[in-house]
Amino acid sequence: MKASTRRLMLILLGSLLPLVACFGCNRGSEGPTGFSGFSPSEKRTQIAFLVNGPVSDWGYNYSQNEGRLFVDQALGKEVRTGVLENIPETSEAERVMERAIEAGVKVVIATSFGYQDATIAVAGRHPDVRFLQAWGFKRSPNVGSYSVKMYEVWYLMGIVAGRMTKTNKLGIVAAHPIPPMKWQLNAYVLGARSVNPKVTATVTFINHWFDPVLAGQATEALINQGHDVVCGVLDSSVGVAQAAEKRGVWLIGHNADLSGFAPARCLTGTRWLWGKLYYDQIRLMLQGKWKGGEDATGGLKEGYVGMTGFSAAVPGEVQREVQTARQKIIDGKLAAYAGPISDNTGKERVPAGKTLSHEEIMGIDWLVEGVR
Amino acid sequence: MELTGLILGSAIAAGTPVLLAILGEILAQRSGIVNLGLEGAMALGAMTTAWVQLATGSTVLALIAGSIAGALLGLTHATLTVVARIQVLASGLCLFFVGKGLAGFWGAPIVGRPLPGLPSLRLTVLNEIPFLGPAILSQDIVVYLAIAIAAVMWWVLFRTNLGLLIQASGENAEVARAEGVPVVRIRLLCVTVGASLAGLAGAHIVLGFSHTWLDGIIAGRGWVAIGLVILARWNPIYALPCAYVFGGLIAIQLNAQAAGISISPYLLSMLPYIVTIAALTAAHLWSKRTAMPAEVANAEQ
Repeated sequence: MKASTRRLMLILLGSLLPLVACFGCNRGSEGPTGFSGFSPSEKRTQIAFLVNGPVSDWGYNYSQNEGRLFVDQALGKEVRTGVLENIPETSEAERVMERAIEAGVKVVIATSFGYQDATIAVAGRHPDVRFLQAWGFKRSPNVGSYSVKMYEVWYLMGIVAGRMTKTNKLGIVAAHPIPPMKWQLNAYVLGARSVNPKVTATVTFINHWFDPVLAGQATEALINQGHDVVCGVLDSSVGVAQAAEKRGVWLIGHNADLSGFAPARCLTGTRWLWGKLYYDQIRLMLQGKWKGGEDATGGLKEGYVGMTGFSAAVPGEVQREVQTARQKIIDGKLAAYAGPISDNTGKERVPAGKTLSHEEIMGIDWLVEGVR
Repeated sequence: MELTGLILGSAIAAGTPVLLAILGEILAQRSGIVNLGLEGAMALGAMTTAWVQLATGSTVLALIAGSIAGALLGLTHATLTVVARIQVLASGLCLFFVGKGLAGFWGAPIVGRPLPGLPSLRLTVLNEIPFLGPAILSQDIVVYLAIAIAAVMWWVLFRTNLGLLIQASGENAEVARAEGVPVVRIRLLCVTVGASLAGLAGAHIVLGFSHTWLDGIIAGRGWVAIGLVILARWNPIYALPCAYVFGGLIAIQLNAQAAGISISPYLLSMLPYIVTIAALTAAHLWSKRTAMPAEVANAEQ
């Protein structure tokens, strides 16, 4: 190639890159996201949300951003919020928190368990800043933890699944064999077996938080083995939904409304309602009543978790059965983890008459009877 | 028996995006240029496909657009490395981040918007084979397209004059240039076309599997493909079994878990990678002569 042609191509390429970048800039200003949204001269209380992936995951982080927007709407006159996406759960999180505080942030909300050590470290250096740590167990005077009782919703999902299955086999695709997955899927199976003792469940761990293609394959493998109600205990259940729709089995959604992905097959699903929890916590802070060192938690009763609507495929009597159970949980007359409960090796884990506390549930590292 | 068919069908379907990516990398490396930006080209292709499918409703246009998006990233890589002589591994790695970043950024408005699936093709004669037929042979069109591309690429590389020119560029660019081979143009062509196949692989992931665009959806398949190029010995035909066996091992471990076989899921999910390493070792012991294009070997030293 001649030298002149080579120069021409380089000039073309050189002019293309800034063009691409500019196109990017114009599209970027959608809302107060990133550090640019914060300013030290801002009069309102500035709140930074840290999430470990993109908020566009149609999963956990998506639900966190929904919660942030809820707070924005409800308390917009007094607070200004921003989300910091894709923040790794390493010491990088500390650096990001420091930068946010430099930009005038007074409340840091760490939405993932993995930020816990960074939160404690930064909080020690900034006693005037308040921190909320998701799923945490380490607290201090300016660090409060929070968690929600999603197992209550999973129990209700189990009732639907137990009533809808014909083969009595439920298929579950889960991310990792760790307590946050186990306490969710156990509650689901306990709910199903409460209405249909013949139900068994098979769980496939795919060892990825986010891989819709792999999740779809895992779901198809479960369907091959005769499981006729499937769900995903993952960051994003989109792949599970696609497989359910394609192969014609029932789907229980998780994290976000998945009925758009499986219109004919999505029975109902779980929802995180972080907005209500954040609203309550931030209101306490604005009123000067907030105290660190405590765990804020709630479930169906507080409106911190909920379910998406029923599809027409769920018979009216099942819908009523679920509503009754929901009311009983709210009234404290029914609990997912009420004994007797054995694990899948036959060992008794919760004796009759005892009900596990929220804190005990968060540490569950066994699988309930009926799961393999 | 029916289950075997289902597993095989799943293996072929899941292996196809990896196959397309391997083919794309083989073409680039045969001309002497490693493209580490493969995963980025796949992401860009996937995002573009989703946009065009939503905007036009045409699956064919969407597949073409996804390929073009991948090709543009490939052309950038080729221009930077072949024309501007930027270090090939550095350029590829940078373009991986550029491709992934742009895909995430431009794709943000359409995240989670449902897309229609690909039409599947039933080969009527073969479909009559009992048990296996229906499961294996009612795949979507891209699956067959990928097999056709592998065959065409093999023919071009090993049976045509152009193929000789490509191999000459990949084996010794200096000598080739002295012999009058248009090395720069050949490499621009191969890297661009190769990356367009990566774009098509991304298109297959959004239209064939997830039916929606989500950031991070390629989930490392591009990197797996770069590894499998070595196992395929830079031969498009060998790429077929490599991709399908890889897809098959994943399908087998998932089906084993679904059937309740109690092996640690951590060990099971290692299976595809252990087999890959074992096969690489076996291939190395079998034949000391490596198939790696010499120019690629130079770049990696």
